[in-house]
Amino acid sequence: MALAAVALAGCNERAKTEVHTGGDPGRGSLLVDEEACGSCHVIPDKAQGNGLVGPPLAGIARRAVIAGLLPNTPDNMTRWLQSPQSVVPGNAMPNMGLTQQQARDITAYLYTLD
Amino acid sequence: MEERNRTRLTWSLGALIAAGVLAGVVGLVEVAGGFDTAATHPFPQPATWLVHRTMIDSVKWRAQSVSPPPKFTEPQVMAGFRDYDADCAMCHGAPGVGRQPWVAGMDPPPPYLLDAANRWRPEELYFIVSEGVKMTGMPAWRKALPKDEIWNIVAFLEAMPRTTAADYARLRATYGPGAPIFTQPPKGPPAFSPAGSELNQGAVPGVAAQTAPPARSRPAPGAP
Ligand code: HEC
Repeated sequence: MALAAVALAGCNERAKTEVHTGGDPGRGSLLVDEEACGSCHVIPDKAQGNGLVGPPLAGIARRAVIAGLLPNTPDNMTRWLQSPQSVVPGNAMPNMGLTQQQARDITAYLYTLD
Repeated sequence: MEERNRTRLTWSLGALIAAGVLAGVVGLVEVAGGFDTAATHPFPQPATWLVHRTMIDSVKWRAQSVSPPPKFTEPQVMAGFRDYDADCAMCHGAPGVGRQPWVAGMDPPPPYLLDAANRWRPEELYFIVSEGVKMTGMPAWRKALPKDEIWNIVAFLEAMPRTTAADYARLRATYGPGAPIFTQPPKGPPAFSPAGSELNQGAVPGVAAQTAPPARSRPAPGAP
């Protein structure tokens, strides 16, 4: 019973993220693998998510600001992911040529991280 | 005595048959196309971890035979930057610089190397660059670059954690992307240059593509 409740809560959480961000966390997770975000960030549950160049991404949904600058909203996260260099010129995180939808999918995935 | 020999024989025969059956099953799966080699279907998480762990341990063990690095000089780091920018950045990125778009289609994905020097000793970096990594797309660069050039690349990798995106852009402005690969002409023809001098002219495919007009739907990485 308790397990079922937890599973349900998990589903709700996921559905909520999708509505909230307009992205698909499953696709976002695959994109995070492909783009090798883990070579710069510690990412929970990612086999190669052990990079120490940028901040760890655990609990990113609960953080108040992105890159110490942008209020942490889904739109701002999408904007950051698409163009970190125009938000904080000269920081180490490169523009990776993500489309808006790809950035939304990654945002959806990031917001599922605890 | 007789009895013991017979048991041993039975065991050996059993092992042989088991090995045969296993080989047969593996063979059948393979011939039937049962193993999926598509880069779009990565290994499951635990297998990815195991394969990566295997690579790390293999490199750490084998790099023991690499003699300790020379003390790196400033010119070596600069020469290393030029090699890195021409040969490595397209797949591994750099501070503030993304990889070529097609690299997202590789499995395993080539990692960014900004903190590689914090994870590997210089000898290990030399070993990886020189010998390559099986089934990953990472070439053995000793087929194309002389030893001292590979040490130059290691010198730059060692400097990379201290290199900001602005530093990297300045280096590019100074030396230009697509600077010639070889700081000195290599002794003898490079093994991977069928046209003869292609590598010496700075005609590096990935780098040339950065200055060409973007023909893809995704913007060229590294462009702000
Ligand atoms: C080359 C290294 C590098 C790569 C690759 C990289 N990042 Fe970053 N990332 C950074 C750095 C450095 C920062 C800190 C930037 C700042 O605060 O100015 C950062 C910041 C972030 C932040 C804001 C974190 C916070 O707490 O403010 C998020 C979210 C993020 N990255 C997600 C990603 C995702 C998702 C990917 C893959 C699509 C990725 N990063 C790829 C280096 C990288």
